[in-house]
Amino acid sequence: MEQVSRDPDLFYVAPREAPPARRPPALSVGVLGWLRENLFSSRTNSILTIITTVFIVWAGGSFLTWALRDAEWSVITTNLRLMMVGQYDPPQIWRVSLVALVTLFLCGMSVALAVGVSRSVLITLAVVVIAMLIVPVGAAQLPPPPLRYLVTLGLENGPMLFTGEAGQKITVAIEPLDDNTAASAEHTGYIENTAGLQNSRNAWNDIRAQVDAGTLDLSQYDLAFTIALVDAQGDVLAQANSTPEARADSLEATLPANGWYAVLTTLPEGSTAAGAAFVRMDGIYTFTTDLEAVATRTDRYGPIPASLCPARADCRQVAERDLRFEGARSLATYLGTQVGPFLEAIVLPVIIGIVTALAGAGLGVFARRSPDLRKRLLRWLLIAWVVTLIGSWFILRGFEGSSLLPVVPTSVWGGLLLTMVLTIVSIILSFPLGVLLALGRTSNLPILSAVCTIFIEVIRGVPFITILFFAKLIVPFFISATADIDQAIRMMVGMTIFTGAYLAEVVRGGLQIVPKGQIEASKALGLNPIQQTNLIVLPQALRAVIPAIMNQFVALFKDTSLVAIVGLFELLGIIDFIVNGQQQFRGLTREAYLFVGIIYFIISYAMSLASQWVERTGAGTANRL
Amino acid sequence: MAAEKDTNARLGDVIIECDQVNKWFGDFHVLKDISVKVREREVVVVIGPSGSGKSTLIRCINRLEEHQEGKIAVDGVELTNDTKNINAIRREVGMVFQSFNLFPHLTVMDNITLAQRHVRRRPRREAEEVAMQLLERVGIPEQARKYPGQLSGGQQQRVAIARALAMNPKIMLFDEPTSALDPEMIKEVLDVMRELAYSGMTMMVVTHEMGFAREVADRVIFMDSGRIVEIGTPEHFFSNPNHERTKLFLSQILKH
Repeated sequence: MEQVSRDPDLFYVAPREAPPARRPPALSVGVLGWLRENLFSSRTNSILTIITTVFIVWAGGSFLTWALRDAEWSVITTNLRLMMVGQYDPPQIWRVSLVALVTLFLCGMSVALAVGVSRSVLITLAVVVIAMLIVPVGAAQLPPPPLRYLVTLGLENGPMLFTGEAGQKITVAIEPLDDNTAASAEHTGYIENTAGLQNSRNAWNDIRAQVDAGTLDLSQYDLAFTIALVDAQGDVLAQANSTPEARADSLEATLPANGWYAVLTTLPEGSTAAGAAFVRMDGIYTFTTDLEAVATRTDRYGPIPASLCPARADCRQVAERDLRFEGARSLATYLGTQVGPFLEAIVLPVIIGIVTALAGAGLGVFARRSPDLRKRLLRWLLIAWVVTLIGSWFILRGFEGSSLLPVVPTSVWGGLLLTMVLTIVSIILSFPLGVLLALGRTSNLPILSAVCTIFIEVIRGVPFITILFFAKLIVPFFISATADIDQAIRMMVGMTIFTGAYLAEVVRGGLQIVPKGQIEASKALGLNPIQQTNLIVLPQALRAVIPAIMNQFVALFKDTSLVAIVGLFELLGIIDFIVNGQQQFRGLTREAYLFVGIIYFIISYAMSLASQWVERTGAGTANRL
Repeated sequence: MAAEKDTNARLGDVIIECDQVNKWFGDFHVLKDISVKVREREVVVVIGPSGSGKSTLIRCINRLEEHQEGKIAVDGVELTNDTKNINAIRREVGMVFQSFNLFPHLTVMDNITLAQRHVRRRPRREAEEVAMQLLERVGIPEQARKYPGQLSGGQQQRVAIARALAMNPKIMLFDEPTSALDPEMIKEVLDVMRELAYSGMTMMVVTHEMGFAREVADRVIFMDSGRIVEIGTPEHFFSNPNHERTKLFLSQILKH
């Protein structure tokens, strides 16, 4: 055969042996390479990078300074109960805890059974638990912050009430507003605030800023005042007079007996001074509004003396005011006085919650090992969820005339509890409503289809708040014109039909993307129309619209705040009640809203993660292969 | 002649009977006076150019399409609007589609057991045993736990055949079962169909696979423009067709 020389570019025969598979070349070229490639690849990119960085540092820096130095988290710590359950009867709160724990247990088990528990989740939870244990313990190692009251001289100061033991040595000292600065250290005493310190935090911050900068001229102020330690009968045990010429900033006394005492600050006759200072008292228990603490102290030291505290409100006002201005702002003090107490308040519930959820998850992981056990547990889990969801309502609400579960009307539910109840009930009811409306609208029966279409379009054409008003005013007529329907139930009805209408359109979109062949195949197999819908069409339609459905649910969760219109205080609404309804927390809106914002975010994000999990499991994955 | 006698002995009674069937899609007259009888254990291949109504014809047999005139009777039951009759017939007639139409949200196993459990009311265990036997018969028992999206086209079509067989149908309808497949996969599906035909299943097959028709079919129906142009044995049909239209069609497709 004649040899023809062939151009190797046009003709090629692969060698008989396939070359071995090789790894792809590494893409990473180190940190610097990454930076150059991603942040400084061009002039525009470099400029953008620099501007963005400056902005982040500037904005984030001032935010962090506020959050880590100036913020007063005591408003959260003190009002945690209100934020969680509103005005739910305190002795009955165990019912909320029970419901929450059972729900967490089932959540843990469901997640474990459905998708398993990854190591990273376990590590995250462990880190959270350990951090929550370490910070309060660490904070306890710090020197205890001095107990200080802010007094506003020239304004009406109630007595600073406290309890003491016989023989106890008491030191009362006037402290500068800021013990870090030379200006105030020199002028121990109080600083006049010519603007008037009407419980205004802004004015207070102004003074602080001037003290910090050393620009405050103290010499011009009238600095005369008297501090006195009195016993329950009002007799003076010790007294110190301070004048601009002669400082007498502190007094010491030994208490004669167990009982209630008070420190009074007064101004000399005719003084026009107005200002603020700390009164520092070491080693004593001060008056508190904590009812349990008051009760124990009353047992031990006798009733609160009426001569010192004619109306409880007077004492409370002074006694709690210190919480706002307690710490000087070193990081240690911040951790000790702000973060520590907060973590202490939540550490136990959070750890119990996490452990409960992990217990459920553990059971789930165990059951996953055997398919048979898993199947049985899944069936049991379904029943458990139904029982829990229905039972929770009755446990939380209680029964007429029951001594174990007395009725707690929904009008006193509030905070996160109310938010979650409204959300969960509305989700559970609106989902089937939405599916039925969607099936109705796409049905071949003209009347049914028309009714569903009109319902959906009307509800979607009206603002949410209108629906809620409508629910508030109209729902009673549907049930019984005279019946006293719970406001919370009316709101649930409103939220359910609103969300149901939107879900219906989402689900209808899902129904449209199921190919006709699927229905033909199920018909050909002899499935009846209900089986076709339940077994073939809906599972595919719903899976396709999981993100949109979840979107609707997250929106619903956040929209629960609109129930404020009927006077229900859910998580967001109760902030107004906390911050503006209690004088000592007036002005601390930023802290409260930030905290609530974080809670909203955590729950919304959890919902989003849950939807991603649902999408990723089962056939959802295989479809995209 | 001898072969024909054998065939006659093998075939049973008439099981599908179409008499003067007419159907319109809107104004378009898609089936025109179709009359055909299929006997038990017979394999009938329907061929014809696209748009000739062959798919519509076999879709009428399990009432995925409604005919408007004439009579269709399957296994002695006439197809009317009575849903009871329709369901009774669908239980006896399995169908395999061009685009497989497996249920993507269910595993292969669940695809095959779903109708058994919900229509035939078989317990899960029994349904799964049936499914495994069928998967072995179509040669992919190892794919039982996978989802359809994880299988090749040929494997999916074999699952679709197993799914239809799981209902123990008396008749199997195939609507261009290999048209959506890569050439390498066509063979594996045809092998399964061939085995099914030799096992005595009554089959109506719409296909363009002339080799299959020639080898397996008892009769070949050629349709054009909604009419049956010619019915005959494969020998007669491929070597000596009567009608000009048939000759033209065969000359066109056999060129390739």
